[in-house]
Amino acid sequence: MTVYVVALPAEARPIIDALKLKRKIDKPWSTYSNGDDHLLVTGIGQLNAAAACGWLIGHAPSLARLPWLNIGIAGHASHALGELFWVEKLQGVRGGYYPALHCTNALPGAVLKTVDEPCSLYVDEKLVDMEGLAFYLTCSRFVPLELVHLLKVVSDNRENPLESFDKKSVPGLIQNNIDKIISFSTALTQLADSLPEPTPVGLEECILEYSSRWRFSHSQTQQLYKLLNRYYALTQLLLSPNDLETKARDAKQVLSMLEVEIEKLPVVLR
Amino acid sequence: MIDTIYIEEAVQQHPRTLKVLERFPKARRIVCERYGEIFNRAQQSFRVQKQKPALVLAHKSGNRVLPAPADYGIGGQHNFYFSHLYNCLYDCRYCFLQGMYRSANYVMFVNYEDFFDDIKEQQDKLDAPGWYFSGYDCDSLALEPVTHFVSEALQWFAHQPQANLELRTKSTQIRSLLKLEPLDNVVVACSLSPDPIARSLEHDAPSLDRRIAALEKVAEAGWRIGLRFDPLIWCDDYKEVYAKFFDDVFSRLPQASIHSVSTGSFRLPPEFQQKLAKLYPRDALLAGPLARNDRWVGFPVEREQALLQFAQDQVVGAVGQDRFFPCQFSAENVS
Ligand code: SF4
Repeated sequence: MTVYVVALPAEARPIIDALKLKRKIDKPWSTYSNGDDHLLVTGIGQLNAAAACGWLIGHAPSLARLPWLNIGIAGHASHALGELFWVEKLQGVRGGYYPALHCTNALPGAVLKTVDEPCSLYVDEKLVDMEGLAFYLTCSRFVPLELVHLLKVVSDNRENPLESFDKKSVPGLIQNNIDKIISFSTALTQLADSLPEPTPVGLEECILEYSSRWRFSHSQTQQLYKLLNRYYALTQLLLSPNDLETKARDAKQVLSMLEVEIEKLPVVLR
Repeated sequence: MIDTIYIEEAVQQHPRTLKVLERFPKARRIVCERYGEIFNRAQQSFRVQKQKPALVLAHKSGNRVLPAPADYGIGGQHNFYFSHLYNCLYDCRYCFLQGMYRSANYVMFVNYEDFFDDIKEQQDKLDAPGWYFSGYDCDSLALEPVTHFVSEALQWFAHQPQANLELRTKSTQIRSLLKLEPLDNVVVACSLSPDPIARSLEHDAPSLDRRIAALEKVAEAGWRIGLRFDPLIWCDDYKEVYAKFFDDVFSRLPQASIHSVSTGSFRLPPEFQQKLAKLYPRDALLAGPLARNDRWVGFPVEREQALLQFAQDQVVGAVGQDRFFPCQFSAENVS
């Protein structure tokens, strides 16, 4: 279960085929999904990458619990065409950003520099792309850092510069690495299992039930949310208003009754 | 065990860096400017990182030896702590490090000599022996096979009779201790909890039985040992659980080797407790009834007092009052 982010439709094609993704949304950006995996095509450049990622997370906030993986082509001075790299550092304006790697990954690492215009200078030993930094900075605002990563395939180098690059080769470059890409995504997905457990199913409805009977202020609703969560942690049950032993006068009393219910629970650490 | 090692530019060629790299020849090496670039970033998940922490090799500049909080101590007048390492191999659910740090990566400061110089400088200012507590931001021994810090520190402390060292641990990595002659100014202190509590809360740490066995060996080799019953954890059958536990501990360890025993109840600064509860929303300890005062979140006062009193009675009954040091008001001294 991963959100793949690519700039070009040609980069998307091998992922769509491998994961049997279906088109879901056309505009403002194309998205694909098979229910578990998702793909976003951002268009070229940092502005597109940032806007598209921000839009998708706003549109589907639950995706923030999944790994986000930027897949794309990049230039490099000397690395061989077709080689796949995990980005270990992104060069920023002030210093660098280091994607947090906490799963097994045998891919070689490389530093990525994101530029605003296509570049065929090949001056230093860094991967060069046009979206990576914006993708990383945007996603790492919403998604745990450990789940935001970038994999880049070398598409041009000093020997085979951008000027002679054949765009038709893009799907092949990704396709040749698709197994490695999917296995990295699988490792990230396993890592995502260790995120804090999500809100219990039915909690929102339960809170609505309480709110329909008593008036809760904003901060009281937050307290209610915390208490119901705690009760759930200790019992694996949601405590509905019907389960409270006596009738409460107001929200304040409901909250103290919930506290008492929690205090009554046995504490056995085994 | 370690797949990724970040190395601060400044310590790339440090002999200890090279030694660590030699130990993990297959680990990915990434050079960074400052360890804070890896360690201090926002939006990190301590819980996710705990699945496979990276190691960061760094230089610690300044603030290497700090005054220990009031009420932290085992009878000495001047108490300090220092941390050659941030974070821990184990994963105790009550550990304050989860609330204090954004990252679960291990940061190892390789400039040990600077720590020793600072301890010396501090000690020279004192008119009485000082106590220097290791194992404040880490477990003193758990990563010893990687850091070799304790081995080096013991050799240094051997020549500093005025400076006392406490190593605090849950580890059974005692090889470095057994290799050396015991020192009068060193206490090997082990944090112990009853077996059911250790199993439930002290994830990845050695079992109670293995900890006691390690302490037995250390004591047999002539080292002074410390027993840290901290944090004490309240449960409905605490009397039964702790009575059995104290019996077990005090019957197995030689009285004469016990330098000090301390107790402390579970407590965390409120902001740390909130962070932990968010990290582990289904954890029974963090979800259970807790009370809050200005400084700490802990068990409700009656429970806390009952537990502390029970532990005190048992400890004093076993070792007497002189070697007992209750620590009731400091949250951060768990290891
Ligand atoms: S409480 Fe001590 S042993 Fe446990 S994780 Fe924290 S530092 Fe390590």
